[in-house]
Amino acid sequence: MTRVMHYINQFFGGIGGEDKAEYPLTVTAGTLGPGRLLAGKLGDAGTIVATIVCGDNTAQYSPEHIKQEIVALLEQYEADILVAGPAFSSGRYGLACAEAAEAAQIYGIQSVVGMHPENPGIDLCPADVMIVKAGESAVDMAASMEHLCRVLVRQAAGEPLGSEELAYCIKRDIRCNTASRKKGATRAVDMLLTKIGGGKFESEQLPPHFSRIEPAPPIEVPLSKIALVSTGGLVPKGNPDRLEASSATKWVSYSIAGRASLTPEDFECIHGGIDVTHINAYPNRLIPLDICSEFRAKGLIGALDDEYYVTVGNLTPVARAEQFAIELTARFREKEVHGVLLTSS
Amino acid sequence: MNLATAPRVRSNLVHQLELYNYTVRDLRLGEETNWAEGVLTVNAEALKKHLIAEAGVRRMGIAVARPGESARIVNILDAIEPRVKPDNGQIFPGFLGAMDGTVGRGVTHALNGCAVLICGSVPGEVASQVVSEAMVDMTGPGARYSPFSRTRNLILWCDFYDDHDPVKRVSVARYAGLLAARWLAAATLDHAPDEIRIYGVPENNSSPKKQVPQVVYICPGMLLSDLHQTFLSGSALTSTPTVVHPTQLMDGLLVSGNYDIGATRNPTYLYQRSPIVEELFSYQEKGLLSFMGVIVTKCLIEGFFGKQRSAYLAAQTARLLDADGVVISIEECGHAYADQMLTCQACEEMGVKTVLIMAESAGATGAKPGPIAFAEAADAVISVGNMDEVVSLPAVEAIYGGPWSCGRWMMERMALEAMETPLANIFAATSQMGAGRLKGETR
Repeated sequence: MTRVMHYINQFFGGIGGEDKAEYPLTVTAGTLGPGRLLAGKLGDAGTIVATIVCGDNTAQYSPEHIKQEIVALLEQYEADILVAGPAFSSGRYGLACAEAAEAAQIYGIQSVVGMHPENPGIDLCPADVMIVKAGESAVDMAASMEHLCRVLVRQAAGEPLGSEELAYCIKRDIRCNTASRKKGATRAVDMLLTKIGGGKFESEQLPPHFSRIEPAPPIEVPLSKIALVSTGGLVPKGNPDRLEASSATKWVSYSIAGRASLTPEDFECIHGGIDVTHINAYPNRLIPLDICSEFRAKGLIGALDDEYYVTVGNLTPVARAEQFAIELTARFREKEVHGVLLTSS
Repeated sequence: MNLATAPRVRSNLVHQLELYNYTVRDLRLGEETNWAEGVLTVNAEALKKHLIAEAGVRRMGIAVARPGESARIVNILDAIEPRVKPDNGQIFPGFLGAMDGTVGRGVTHALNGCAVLICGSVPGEVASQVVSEAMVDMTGPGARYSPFSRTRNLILWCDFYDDHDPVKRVSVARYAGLLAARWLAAATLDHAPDEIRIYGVPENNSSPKKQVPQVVYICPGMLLSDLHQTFLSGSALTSTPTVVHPTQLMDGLLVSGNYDIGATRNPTYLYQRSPIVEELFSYQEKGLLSFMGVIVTKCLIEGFFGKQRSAYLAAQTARLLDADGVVISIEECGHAYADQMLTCQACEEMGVKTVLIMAESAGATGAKPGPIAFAEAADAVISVGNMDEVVSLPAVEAIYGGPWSCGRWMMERMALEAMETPLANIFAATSQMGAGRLKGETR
């Protein structure tokens, strides 16, 4: 029988309201609070082996620590799947449920979470976690739990969700693979003939949504400190930090203090998605230290940062690239860098 | 042998090719190489000798893997369908002989349902480019993805000379694979085929115009480095589009020299038996369209000006071929999609309707945003699936192509064992030539 771990907050755990939001993470064997309703609906499909209760503030103060504790409990109780919530529209409870789902992912099991479609916790849930639509408040408990249970049973059995269960879930804009009746080539020719004939057709891929970034206000370059940044993978010969040729997990920085140019003797390009011959022959083609030094000498650039910063853009997920940007921006503020020259491969 | 007894279809087509299909029901190793009643028997020693002498391979392992067997093939460089042309006709022009008027015309013998899988370990980098993994499972969940899980495969496992660099290794393997394909198909030369299919494009002005839509296939191949290229009659593709007869692809006019991401490579086999070409011919036979030709071009073109040049030249060529619509495939990913999207934009601007075929790289969880480039005009895009999806493969009993798996996603375990791998490592799993049934969906 599927062993279910249930995560709830201090309110649903019967500890108390806002005044008990600092309640520490505790575990109780078996069901507690709304878990009883879930257990009834689950019947023979699964058993709730334990319930974790945690204060909403506690979960926010030290999320990494809380996640570790949850992982340890999942292991202790040999849980097969985790259920969190439903959190309804309670924001902090939603964030805590997302944390619990992340812990389940770290431990390597699936999870099902219940939330109102506007709960901010949705954005923090791991991408492949199914979030069942819940009402605004506990008034909707019975229906929310019913839907959550149906999704849970399917997930626990390792079955794909049917259209009915999918309708219970919040659409997450996640792409998944399915098997089509027809080959890709056949679908292409069918779609083309429909399109030429003026008929209706449905594209299988839509344009991606990238967030728009408002440009920062202009700066006076001759009065500014400029940093050289690149996604082109230029590293000191031998790649001392093992920067990845694709799907980079980090950015690195290297001193250019006292250099007026990046020489082929000292630097090489390890980017895996381009022909690097021309960069390796003259690395300034990727990171233009030669021209920038010249401009600096002429006073066209106020100052140059004493390091250059580099990662590899090749197949690196956007979310990770955004994280790099946040870290780099903090570093630039610290070093009082006013502007960045960003070059790609 | 009386070929006149074989079934025949007649039609009014130009640049007509009669494809003699010999459907391989079983593939075996044996004393003698011959073709008899659907069974291809291969004398491995003789083939080995031929390839070592002609192609410069140091040693070669030869094995057979059939659908349903507990076998995994790794280090795959290319797949080729065995084909030969009688009467001194040229197959794989530019490699095995000079291009001439026989390419795409006359008769071609094909061992249908059979593939030569040329394998070899090619470690090392050339200008930071590497040979990536491409593997095929013959059974289990992995076998759902590759078209080569369904073919009877003759595996040629090359061992190279130590002083052969990666570029030399892949070119030796490429030549060996093509030689083997012709050598094997030669076993059918005195036999009647199971089926004769006649292919060709409609004669100009032979039929009242515009009764049915006129369709062109735009086929970009990868060209980035000496390890990632495509050959048209032996020469690397250029970004100047070239019009070819679809029947010429069937005679091996295009040969893959691309060893990048396994799932999105266009293997030679899929040029010879191109799913898009086959569909367009089949719809033409049904009287639903006229197949006007194939425009071969290159993807991963340097610089925006270069990309625009190629896109507009391809679109204008399609227009000159009087196309109402085009199917645009692609090879590999990244900025290849910029080439595909610009070509789509240019075609639509010129009034040529487009459908694109693309794989997705949406991350293991499917949450990563779509391709780097997406034209406004691209309103009809086929998704052949997310190549980042992770699949669990069970342990297998037999491993071919090397004890270890190499490539960009170095797998640090015996290839025999159970493993988790992104689809990206499974050969042609998300083929953008439309060979598979996989499809991406938003959940």
